Amino acid sequence: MSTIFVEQVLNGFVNGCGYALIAIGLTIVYGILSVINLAHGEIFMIGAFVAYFAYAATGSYAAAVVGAVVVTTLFGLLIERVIFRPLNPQPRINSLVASVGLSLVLSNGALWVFGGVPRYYTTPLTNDVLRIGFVSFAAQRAVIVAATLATIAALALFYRGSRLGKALRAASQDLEACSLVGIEPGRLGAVAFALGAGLAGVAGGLLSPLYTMTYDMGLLAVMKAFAVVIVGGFGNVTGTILAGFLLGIAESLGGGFVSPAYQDTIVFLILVLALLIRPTGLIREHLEENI
Amino acid sequence: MSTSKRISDGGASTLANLLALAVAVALPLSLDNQYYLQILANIGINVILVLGLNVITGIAGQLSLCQASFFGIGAYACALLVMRAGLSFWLALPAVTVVTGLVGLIVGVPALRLRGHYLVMLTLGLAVLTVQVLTNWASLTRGPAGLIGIPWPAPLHFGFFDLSVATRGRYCAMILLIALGVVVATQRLLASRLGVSLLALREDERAAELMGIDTRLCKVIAFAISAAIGGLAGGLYAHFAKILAPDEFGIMESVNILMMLIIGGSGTVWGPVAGATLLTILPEGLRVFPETRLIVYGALLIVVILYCPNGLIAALQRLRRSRTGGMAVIPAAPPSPAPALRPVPPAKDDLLVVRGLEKRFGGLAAISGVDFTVHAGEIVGLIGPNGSGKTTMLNLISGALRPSAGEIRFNGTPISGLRPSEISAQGVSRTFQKIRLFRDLSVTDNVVAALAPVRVPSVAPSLWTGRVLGWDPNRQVHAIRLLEEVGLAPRADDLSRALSYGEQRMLEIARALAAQPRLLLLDEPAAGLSGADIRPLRGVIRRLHAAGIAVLLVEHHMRFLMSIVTRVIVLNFGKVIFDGPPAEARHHSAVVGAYLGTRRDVR
Amino acid sequence: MSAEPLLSLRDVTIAYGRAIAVRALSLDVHVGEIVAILGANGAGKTTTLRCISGLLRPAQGTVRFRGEDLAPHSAAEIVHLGVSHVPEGRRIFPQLTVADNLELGAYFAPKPELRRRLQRVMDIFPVLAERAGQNAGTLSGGEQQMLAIGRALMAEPKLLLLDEPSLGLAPLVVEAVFERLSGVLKGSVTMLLVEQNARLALETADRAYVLERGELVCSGTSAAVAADERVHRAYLGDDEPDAAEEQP
Repeated sequence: MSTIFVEQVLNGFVNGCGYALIAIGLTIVYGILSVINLAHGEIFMIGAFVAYFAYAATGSYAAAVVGAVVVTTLFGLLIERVIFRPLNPQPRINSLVASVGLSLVLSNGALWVFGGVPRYYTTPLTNDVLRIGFVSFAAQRAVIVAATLATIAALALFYRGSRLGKALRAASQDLEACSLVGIEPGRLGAVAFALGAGLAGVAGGLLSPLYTMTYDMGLLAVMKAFAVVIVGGFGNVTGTILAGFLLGIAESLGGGFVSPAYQDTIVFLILVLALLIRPTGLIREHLEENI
Repeated sequence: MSTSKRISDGGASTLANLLALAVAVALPLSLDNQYYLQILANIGINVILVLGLNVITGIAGQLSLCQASFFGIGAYACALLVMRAGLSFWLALPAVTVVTGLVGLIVGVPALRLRGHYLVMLTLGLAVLTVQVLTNWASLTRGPAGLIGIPWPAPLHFGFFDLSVATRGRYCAMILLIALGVVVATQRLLASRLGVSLLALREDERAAELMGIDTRLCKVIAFAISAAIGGLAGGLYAHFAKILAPDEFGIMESVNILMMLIIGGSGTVWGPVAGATLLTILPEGLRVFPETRLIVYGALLIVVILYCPNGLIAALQRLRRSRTGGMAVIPAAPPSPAPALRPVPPAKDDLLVVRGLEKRFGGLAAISGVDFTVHAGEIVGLIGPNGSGKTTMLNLISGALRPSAGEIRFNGTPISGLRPSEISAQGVSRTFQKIRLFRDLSVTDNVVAALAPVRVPSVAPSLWTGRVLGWDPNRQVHAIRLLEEVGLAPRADDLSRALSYGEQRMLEIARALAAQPRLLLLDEPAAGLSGADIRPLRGVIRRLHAAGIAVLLVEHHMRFLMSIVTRVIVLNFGKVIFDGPPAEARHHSAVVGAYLGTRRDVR
Repeated sequence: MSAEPLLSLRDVTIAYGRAIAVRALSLDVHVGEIVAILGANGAGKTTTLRCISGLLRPAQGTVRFRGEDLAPHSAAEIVHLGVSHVPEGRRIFPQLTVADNLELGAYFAPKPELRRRLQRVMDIFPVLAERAGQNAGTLSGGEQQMLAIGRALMAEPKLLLLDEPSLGLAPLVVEAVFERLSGVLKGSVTMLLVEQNARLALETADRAYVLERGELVCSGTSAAVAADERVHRAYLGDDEPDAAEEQP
């Protein structure tokens, strides 16, 4: 019994890797630009599909992931320039609605181009099994966890150590003050989008051997990412990472011990409850303002 | 996502309504082609759905992405009531409308404490949960297989006359008639107390709350109405389509409804109709390329948001924008014997009493122990250097902020900790340092919104007598009288954001007077005004004084302030350093020191 | 004083929507000076600074820095031209360390240059060296003000704009800040200082301009302005009603 429990937790942790990576991207963009991009899930989907075709072409898992990241990063830059920067002067909610339109274009574009048949692929790692104590663990999953932790570590280093990282943190605290010290806020916005999209690409590429890929996988992904961001706190990167893993595990345990059919429901239930009880997340406080 | 809003007019739209009535009845009954009838019926259903969403998203300004959930709940509930419980369609339809409305009410109470994107996320979560429940509760809904074989409604007996809608043509006519009914209801809503309150809260929720509107209550009512209308559409849809499946009522459908609203023009009456019609017909035209239909939709949405975020109807309106029009015809009012300024007589001479008031923001003490009193009928000036706490003081009195310590009593009643709309009901009203008008509403509507705001003590009896939803011409007249007081009557029909800066400041005062305050808080009313504008401002304040309304005036324009106040309170670093006649203040050493600074070598 | 002013405003009018905040203002700042802009709240002082640093655009008139029109430049570009703005309320980055805040002030400078500037700023404000590793949000008001000035100095500006540096600070702390301004910094950087505390500003500055409700009412050397009763009136009004505003 306990073996199953541990395996559930580990599986949930693997899913949590994906949730965390996708959610960080969302929260970075929100923290700096106050924009919610509902098409973020489609960027994850693009990453997965690019990985699929890259693997088919090169036979290399690493190439697949790298390809996914490159394409999604460029894509993030594109949509920031073409859609979200022009929407800057409009109320924030309009950016959200535009992102809904973008989501439609991308998911149905994928349907049109790739068709409705789900794709999947496996790497040689999928069939390798690691054994740690009494637990067996697919090597593929271990690689995903390792790569995710490495990415998060690299991100942390970047944020704490590099000048650009500090500038991004500054931007999420006071965007106008950045222009006062000579940093163009528009450029930081572009970096934020590129970074967020790139992380979604990492998630898409890394997790692509695990799941079947469909044109509409983005919707579920972004919804879950939002559950993560809300629990972790909008704009709070650390909280988001923790929440990602937590939610992955909770979902896995719920699916294993309650009912598989309701597995997806659990995440949304958590989302709804979190919003009703403590919408600002686990850590942040609500600030009063003078009017 | 707002367009210019005027209260619905009497004249032109009655003609349009009658025309629409004729079309609604004649067209479906004269059509034989089943395909066209199908499209027409879908148009009707979508019109109802979009008008429903319009109430919470277009008029109240709260983005909701779960309208399809209410659609689904209504559809399934109506079908199940008829098929399983044997209820007559004619009873089931109103029943599901009410029940879905109640669901919206129950969900809305906790949900509408959230703002902006939090609320959107919640509605998205609910949308997904609804589909999950519909899919998984197979014993009730037959799960993914769906409900089939939903029958035509049984004929309705009116004595010796039977009304049957058992054919596509007749049912379609019924749908269109009901859709028209919803159009008329929307027109009535926009003209009612509730409607103006919702428009005001969409424009500026905090200002609306401070003008006395109970914004939470209004949002919940709007959400419930949207839900009810969604349920109505669902019930109608179930018996026309005859088959229901859970995935028809998911996020995609909600997004579809939102798109129709935005592209047509949210917040108006005919915008939703246009959007629903266009986006129901368009896919039929795009049937040649089924996969690209949604791509075109999405691209259309992006383009609309980028280039005409107010929708197509607004773009058309802009082409033929006229200065007047949109107001119901008011007979030329004779000069009214009763003055427009009618303060409620205060019970106490110590009208506003502030004791030991403190306010901290994090570690910073903005107000640290303030005591003062404003007496009935006084004009008191509140001055102090930048950062001394003047605006914070007004925010504390009006309820925009809660004190950290101390108490505020108004007319004997403790008001600290009350919601701003409750404090407004007690008789405290205000203007703002940075103008916060309801910009997309007309000059008159700005005042009307504050005249009879929807809030708890008054809404229950009014709902009963229908006055919340009713149209009251007296409100218009009263509003015009208030506008006359500040000299804005000639601009009554203009959009408030078209006014000059000085006129906007005056409008804020007229709006604040609509609540019949005993105490008026004015936050830098002369800021940015030229000399020519200050003269009438002085006149207005003197007339307020003559009418017995007490005024607490924050100002930096010293000459202006000193010329009209009877007493001056000076704040510095959140404390009172002077309280007395204006002539003394100017030469008092502490006051001069606070403003001009102290010499460095003098300690 | 050189012939060409470092900064010159000519007939600058600035509006917020329909409200005119500053009307036809002309002023000059020469290299090496400290110039003060005085006036009551709402007089347009902060608006003027925000226009110079590029956060606002003038509706009319020109702003020239070293002869160049600033209008086509963004606020970030204006920093690179040599104008640094210490904003009202300081606007430091609260969740970054003191050292990080300062580093961002010289974002584009190469590492050795950055270190040299950092050392210089910490010499001017030793308390920043003490608190280098602390999060800026935990500093006291006076320390944050010094950090804000330090951060602006990291860009090695030719012109330093200071917006109400005494705001919200206790008198002794204000002392310490102004000590630096008229001590170490005077002569090494030109300053345009907006202050509500007129006496302190006049003791620190060489020349002053006095604004009242968006218009210039007097200007001159500090001594001349300090003696001018119009200053007193600009802040506290007077007993004579303004003819244009009084009701007939």
